[in-house]
Amino acid sequence: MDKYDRISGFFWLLFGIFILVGAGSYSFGTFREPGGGLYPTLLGSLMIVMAIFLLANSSKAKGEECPAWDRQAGGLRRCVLTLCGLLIIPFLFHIIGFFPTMFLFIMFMMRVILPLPWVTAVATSVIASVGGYFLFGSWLKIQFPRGFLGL
Amino acid sequence: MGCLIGTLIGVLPGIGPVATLALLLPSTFRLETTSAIIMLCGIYYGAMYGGSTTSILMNIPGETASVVTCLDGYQMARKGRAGPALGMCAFGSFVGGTLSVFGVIFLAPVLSSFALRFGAPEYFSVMVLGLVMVTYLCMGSMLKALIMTVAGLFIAVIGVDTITGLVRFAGGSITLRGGIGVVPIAIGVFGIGEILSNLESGSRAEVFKARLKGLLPSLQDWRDSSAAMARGTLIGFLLGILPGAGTIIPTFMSYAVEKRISKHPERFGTGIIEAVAAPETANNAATGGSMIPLLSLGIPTSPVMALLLGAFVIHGVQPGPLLISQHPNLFWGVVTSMYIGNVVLLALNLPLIGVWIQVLRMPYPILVPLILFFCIIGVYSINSNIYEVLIMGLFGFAGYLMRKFKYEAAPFLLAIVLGDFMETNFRQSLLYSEGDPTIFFKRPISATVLGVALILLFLPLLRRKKGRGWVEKVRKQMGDEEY
Repeated sequence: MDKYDRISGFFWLLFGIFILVGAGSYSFGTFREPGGGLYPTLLGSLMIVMAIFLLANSSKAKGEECPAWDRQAGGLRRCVLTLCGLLIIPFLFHIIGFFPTMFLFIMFMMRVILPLPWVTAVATSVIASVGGYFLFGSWLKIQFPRGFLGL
Repeated sequence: MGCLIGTLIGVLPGIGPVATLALLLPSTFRLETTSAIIMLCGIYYGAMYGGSTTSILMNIPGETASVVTCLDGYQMARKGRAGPALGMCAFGSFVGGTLSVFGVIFLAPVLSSFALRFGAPEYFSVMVLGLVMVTYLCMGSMLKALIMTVAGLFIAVIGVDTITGLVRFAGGSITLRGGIGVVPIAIGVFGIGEILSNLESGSRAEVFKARLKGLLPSLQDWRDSSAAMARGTLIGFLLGILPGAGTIIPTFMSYAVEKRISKHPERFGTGIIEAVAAPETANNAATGGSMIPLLSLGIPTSPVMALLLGAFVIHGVQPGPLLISQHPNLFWGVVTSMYIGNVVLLALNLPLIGVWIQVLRMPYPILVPLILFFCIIGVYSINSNIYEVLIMGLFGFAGYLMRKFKYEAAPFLLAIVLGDFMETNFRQSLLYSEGDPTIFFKRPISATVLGVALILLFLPLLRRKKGRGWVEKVRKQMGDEEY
């Protein structure tokens, strides 16, 4: 894990510096009258100290196992595509509507990521999105974004 | 209803009580406060029980507290005794849960009246102890757990400062002004992170195919299990009260105690009923025990309790010493629901075991998109904010990386929940003491609690060679998979 601990150690070090710099824009106050910047400054300092400890320990922990990234069996591809889908769909809600987006997302998952036959994919997507529309939209009266289709 | 839904979601492998509660929390927003909290408690008990079903039938723990149940439960299933194993799980859960209710009835009011002496320094110290306990009891590196704790405390800083009204670290975003909600983070880190990991590994679980014969344990099974259940209840309840112990430590502890005092320790792991009964009883007794600090001090001792605290706050109730006097209906309603929930679980699960098996046989490629669908709806419906879905996705990625780099999510989530309350109490303590940071060590209760926290924090350094011995034992039993 040494290499990966070093990577995460550097990340936390930068994160700690980010907290410290960000906290600098708020009033530190005094211990008698603590301002909004005091607590984040303490947290940022703690984070930096612990990141340094992690970096120092990573050089001693040679030979431990590293995380496995499944590139050959398509595992990483499945993972990345699902994540991209999750990060893109919030921007589609206002364009094509919540439930049409969800229909497309489930179809995308079932056809591209977890290849299933068209019939299964279409049937499951329709049942889930139409069922969700009636259950959450019509019955529980949750306001979902509607797109150009009005759905 | 809560027990039924909780069990239904809890039997799905990979979705533990935290993810189940996070997923179903928004569905209670339209209910009246007492009903909503009771339903969430029911979901919790149901999810805890549901986790045992996958342990016995698939050798996959539905949640971490069911890891021990895999050891002998699956072996019993392979011997054709899945029925008695599942039946004993239901009875054990009932016994442990029911007896722990009496503990809550007697101890919660006592602790509440004691907590009336607490001021800001004491609350701050107890929260520090809770966070340190969670990091101490975690399975991986304690330094990494501490880093996750500080990261969680920082996430809690984002948004409006409750004392000065200043907006911090929001970067001009309207969504971040109100702070990042616990639910999108919990669903992201636990639910989405788990799904991404499973998608990468492409793990497919095999459901045990043999026919179930007779669910009721025999008279001999009862003879073998009754003492184990009594010990499991006691261990589970007492450890459940401790901050950070959660439900996993009591289950391992009860299994270890049974093995140590057994006349045939070599039979453990081969499929014996007392090795299933003890941890399952401890598991449910711990859920009752962990309710005590939440209801009487307002301090959650585990991520599940942190989510329950979030639910209380969302419904406008602040758990703590005044809960019993200000909201007696809610307090006694929750206590009564704990008892009724255990009866309902017993009545539901014995006849419905066949149904749960059918749920487990649903193909994983169909299950995954549906789980994601419910995650998205669950997060969106809290504030009708699409950016919270984005936040869930980002924390899902963070959860996936945490699993890869072996960082634990439990201290992170607990720190997020406690963060705001902790900062407020820290600053109030400084204001109260006119800027004297030693106030935390000048008040006896606060000094004692902080002293324990400091000992736990530095103990691994002092015992560097030995380390946290029990962690090594648990790791070996879990095959190094779960931490």
